[in-house]
Amino acid sequence: MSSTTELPAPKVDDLSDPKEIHDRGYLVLCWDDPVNLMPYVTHVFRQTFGWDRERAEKHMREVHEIGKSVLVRDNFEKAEFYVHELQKYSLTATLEPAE
Amino acid sequence: MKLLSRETDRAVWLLDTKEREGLLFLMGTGARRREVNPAKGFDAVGIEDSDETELEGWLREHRNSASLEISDQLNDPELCVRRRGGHAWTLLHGQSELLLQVLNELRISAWKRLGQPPEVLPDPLPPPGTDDYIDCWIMETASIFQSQLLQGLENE
Repeated sequence: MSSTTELPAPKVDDLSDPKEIHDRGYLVLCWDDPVNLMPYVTHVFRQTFGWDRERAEKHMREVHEIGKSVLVRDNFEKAEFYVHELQKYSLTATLEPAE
Repeated sequence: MKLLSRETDRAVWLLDTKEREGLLFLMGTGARRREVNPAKGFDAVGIEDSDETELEGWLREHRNSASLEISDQLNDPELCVRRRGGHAWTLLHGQSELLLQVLNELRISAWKRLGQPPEVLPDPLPPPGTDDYIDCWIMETASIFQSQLLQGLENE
């Protein structure tokens, strides 16, 4: 939190047409893991996205039961920010171009 | 660790003496152990090794500074005020979130060093004084603090 180090950029697929990809936006995904507690994941989603409890729990259950959940679709900068926020909480989050 | 009061931007927590010592141990010894024997990240789909290493480096720096920041707060007599029954510890909203992040990461690091056991704690417990025993203690204690924090923060 007090660090001022520049964040590394998350890996995304090669873009054949950056403009087109940019227009479609990017998806932020959260992946299941065997150790994070469910109430903790719900709390992190609420903090990161400002969601109410019901919406946060819905996505938490998707992560737990399906193995992943698409959390938001946004432009690259915001998607990258969200991924880093989730990773600060030790959640496994990635972004990928929206199709 | 009990919630005494909460306002929009801050919360005041009651820590008894042992809880404060436990948190200081976690932020000191617990945080140093992850440097001596760092736990590798999850095998996340979509993240290549080189990116993961770079990101983990940044995250490690973030968590190290966070652990120091929390230790400093616990040792600051204006933020962690001695009172009957222990200490009243004032945490701004962002600091509570930082504490949650650090506790969770310490718990996960200890779990990984223990070989990622399917159960919460190995049964039987490792002999006292061994590295594995300390990691079990870190896992369990961080988990308790994490649950208490979440309970206080999520109650509306």
